[in-house]
Amino acid sequence: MTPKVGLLKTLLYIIALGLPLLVFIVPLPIADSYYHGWRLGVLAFVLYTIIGAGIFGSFLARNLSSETLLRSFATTSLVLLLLVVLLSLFFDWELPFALGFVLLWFGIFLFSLVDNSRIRIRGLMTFLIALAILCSFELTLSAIPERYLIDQVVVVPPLAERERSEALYEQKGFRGERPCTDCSEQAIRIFTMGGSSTYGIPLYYSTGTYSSVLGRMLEERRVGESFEVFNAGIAGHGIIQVLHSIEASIIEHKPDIISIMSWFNDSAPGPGWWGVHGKSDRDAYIQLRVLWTLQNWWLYQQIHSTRAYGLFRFYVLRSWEHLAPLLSSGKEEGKGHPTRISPKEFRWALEEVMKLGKEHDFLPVLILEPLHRTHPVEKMLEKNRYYQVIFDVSKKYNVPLVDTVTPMSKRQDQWLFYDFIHPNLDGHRLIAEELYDTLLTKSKVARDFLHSRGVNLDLPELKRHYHYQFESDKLAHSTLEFNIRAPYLAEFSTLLNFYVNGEIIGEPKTLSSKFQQFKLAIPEQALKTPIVDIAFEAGAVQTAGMEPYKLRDTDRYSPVHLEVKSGGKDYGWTVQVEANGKRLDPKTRGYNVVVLGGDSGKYLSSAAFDTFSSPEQSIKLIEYLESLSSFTENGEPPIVIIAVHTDGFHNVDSELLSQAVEKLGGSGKLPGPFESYALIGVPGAAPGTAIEELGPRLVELSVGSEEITRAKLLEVQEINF
Amino acid sequence: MTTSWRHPGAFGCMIGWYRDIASNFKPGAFTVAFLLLPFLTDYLLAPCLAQSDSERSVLLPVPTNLSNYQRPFDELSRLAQWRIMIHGLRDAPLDPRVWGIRVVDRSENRQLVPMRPFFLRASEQADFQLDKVLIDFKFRRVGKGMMHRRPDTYTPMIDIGFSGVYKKGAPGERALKDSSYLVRLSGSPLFDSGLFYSSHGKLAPIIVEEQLNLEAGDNYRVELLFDKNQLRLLLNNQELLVHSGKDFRTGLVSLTTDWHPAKIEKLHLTGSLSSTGESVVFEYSKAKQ
Repeated sequence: MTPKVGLLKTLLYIIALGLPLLVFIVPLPIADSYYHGWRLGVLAFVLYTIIGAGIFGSFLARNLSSETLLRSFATTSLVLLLLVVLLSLFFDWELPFALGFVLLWFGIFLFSLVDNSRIRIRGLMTFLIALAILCSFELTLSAIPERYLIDQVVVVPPLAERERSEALYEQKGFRGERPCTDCSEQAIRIFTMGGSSTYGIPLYYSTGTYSSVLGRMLEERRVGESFEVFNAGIAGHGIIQVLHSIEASIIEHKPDIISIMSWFNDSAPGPGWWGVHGKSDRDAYIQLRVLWTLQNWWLYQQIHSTRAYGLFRFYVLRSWEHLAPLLSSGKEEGKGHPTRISPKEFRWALEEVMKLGKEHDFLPVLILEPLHRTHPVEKMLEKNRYYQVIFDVSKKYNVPLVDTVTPMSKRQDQWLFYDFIHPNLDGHRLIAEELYDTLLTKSKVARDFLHSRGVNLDLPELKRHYHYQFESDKLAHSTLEFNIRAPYLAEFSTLLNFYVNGEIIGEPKTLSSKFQQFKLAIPEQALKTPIVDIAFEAGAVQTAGMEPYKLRDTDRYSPVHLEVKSGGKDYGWTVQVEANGKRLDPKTRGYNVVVLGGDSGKYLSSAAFDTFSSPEQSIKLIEYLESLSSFTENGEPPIVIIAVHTDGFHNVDSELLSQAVEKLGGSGKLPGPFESYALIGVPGAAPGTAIEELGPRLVELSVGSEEITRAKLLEVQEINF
Repeated sequence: MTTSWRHPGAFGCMIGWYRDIASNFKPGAFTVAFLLLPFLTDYLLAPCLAQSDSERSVLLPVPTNLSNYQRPFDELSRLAQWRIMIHGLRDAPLDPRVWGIRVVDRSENRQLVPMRPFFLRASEQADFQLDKVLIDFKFRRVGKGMMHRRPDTYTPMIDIGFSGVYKKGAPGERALKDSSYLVRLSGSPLFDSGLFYSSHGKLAPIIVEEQLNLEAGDNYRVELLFDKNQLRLLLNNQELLVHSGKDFRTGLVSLTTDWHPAKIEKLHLTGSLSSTGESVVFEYSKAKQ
């Protein structure tokens, strides 16, 4: 019996338009719960509608000439649909439903290929149908719970890995210092960037890096001004990675000055930072930038996160990765780029940094990265093309250049490095001094820039301690002459001590705020050794009242001015212990403990206990605090300063630590999670008598007067040397 | 824990002592002990501890796990072998029980063996007197041209320091005192050999001796003989340097080599403790070698 055309038309219409509607509307919420199938669902529905309309039109155009085929197709479809519905009553229904749906549309696809010569838009229709099948396939996969799929299909790998230095900055911050949250907006932020020499490998303590030394120099010498210096060096970084890091991570910290010390890693043999064989760092970077941009596109992310693509990636692309080396000659694999980047590319990167500087209003400062036992800079310039580029770029863009090579070459016979490229403590100090001098003295560009940022360049250079070294032959027959003053002396007076070979010589001299001339003849008995170390510093400050120096109710006085700061994670995220303006804390997360002599106020010891990392640190902290109780300096117990950085709560044995703190005069209260805590106490003091503060805020303690500390700053004019 | 000062844990000792008294003595004795305790603590124990602190080591302590040194080098895993190799000079590991680095020079080793002075632990003792240093060594062979072009990497050099003084400064600050006499033996034409005085790293020549300039690749024996107020240097049994006028026997003794390795075949130091008259000998512990 031949079916009636009207009925058939109706059925086909239902199949072509109605089913997609039903199929996609019903499972959408379920598919979405597993995956983001709704977008594909909508897309597929639109496609199906177009396809269905096209097929329906073709049926009409052909006057149903393939009735038998259509009948069998429609029957199969109905049976399948029925089967799907029945199965879905007994099983996890969206899966068989979707499978049935795929079969259904595969049938339609076959039908469209059998006899559709009259369809003018055959190619487009085929494409749309294939796309629809793909969408159905994806929906099917989406319906499969994740646990049944292999990880490589479910987990979407990035097209290009995120640059790892971004993650490093995010996870670990900068070495030794975090941006403080309570600093004034006027604080000048200096970032030192480069590779391992800047990071300070293999220095165990961050306090020795040139970045830290520069920070301390600025703290000490630039009274009343605020600077923050961050070590943004990362081992292995070359100029291309520095360029990327500035754009991706540093700019957001609003840098004022960025110093860059890089060339050695750039001149190293390839493959470079990203390990791409046969490509320089610059080429690899440009390629990666395209990929990083591409993978951030919405459409790309949609396609890449589909499971269908996951299967394709796993079974096809991955296979190709295995296959490709077998098919290639093998020459490409071993072929590396001669250097990570060429001098020409190095110039390109430096110029990009210069452009960034103009765009984001920071001053780039270029530092010549020195080598162990380096030749003088003139000779190095002849043979080192990277140095030449650095010189050229600094001239072209009129940015400061820090010549570390000249002072290093003058000390060519000394141990300033740990190996051929990584400076040791003395090497770092030398770099820091040169950087400081360039910024504040030598470079007009840097001085103008700092002036524009509010730095008072008329201030004299001030130090607490001057250190000189001479050949003894010269000193034996000459007298050294200095003009010295302590410009901050007002109502106080201070004494000047001279040291030769570490021993005080002569009587202390009284200083004033006006320049006075001092003559120093080295006594014969001091000339025991070929070199004479000469040092001088402002000694004790004589002040009328000691009341500001009293340690609250402990009946003890501090011999020195103390400033203590503690900031929990959300309350400043910082730590600082200063005695007479000299920073002494280890700058480490957890409990920072500084011990000063009770008689002289001199630094005796410091220790850091990162209790956040492990409970063992808490035990060690308690042992350490307990051991202090039996220590004396000339019969006086020491002054113990405790300041918490980030957290002093987790992993802490609160009962034992409370007891240990009480023995220092503390109240026994300890900080809560990520809270601040600071204490200035004395072993043996009664509980609750020490200076102590804690809580969810930035904690700052002070003993004595900052004015008196300042009074010990010296300005020196060397006359006869 | 990172600390620049290690205390012997006196508080714990005191508590133990106090408990002993409490458990063994009768009440009367206990009362006497109780009264005596503050006196003992304040006037006897504390000054002793304070003194011991002032004389505390500037060197990193001996590692606690020395099991690698108890076994033949060849039987060790590669990691254990590497751990031995990194404690010392390049190509010349030193026994951590005998030689140590200063706390201030502490570094992360990673794959490189940093150049830094290794100090004879015994020389920290005030009554230690150095009598003799003998080293058989040779520098890895390298051409003079390379030494000129790349002094950063190809500088054959060994410094033998003695009569050293080191007083540490505040964290991050330079040392209060860091001086030493040293004999420098250089195979590089860029650097002189001889007797020098070093203060905070700065070198001043006392005697520059051309005959002490060495050839990389050749075997040498250097002997330093210390007598009261006299130092004699013998190279391959030939006396090349004599200096008088100072007693060099006390103070820190150190060894440093450059990035270009020096292979040490024999290292022999002898000294004595003036307080007891006891002689001490330090032989090179090469582990595998």
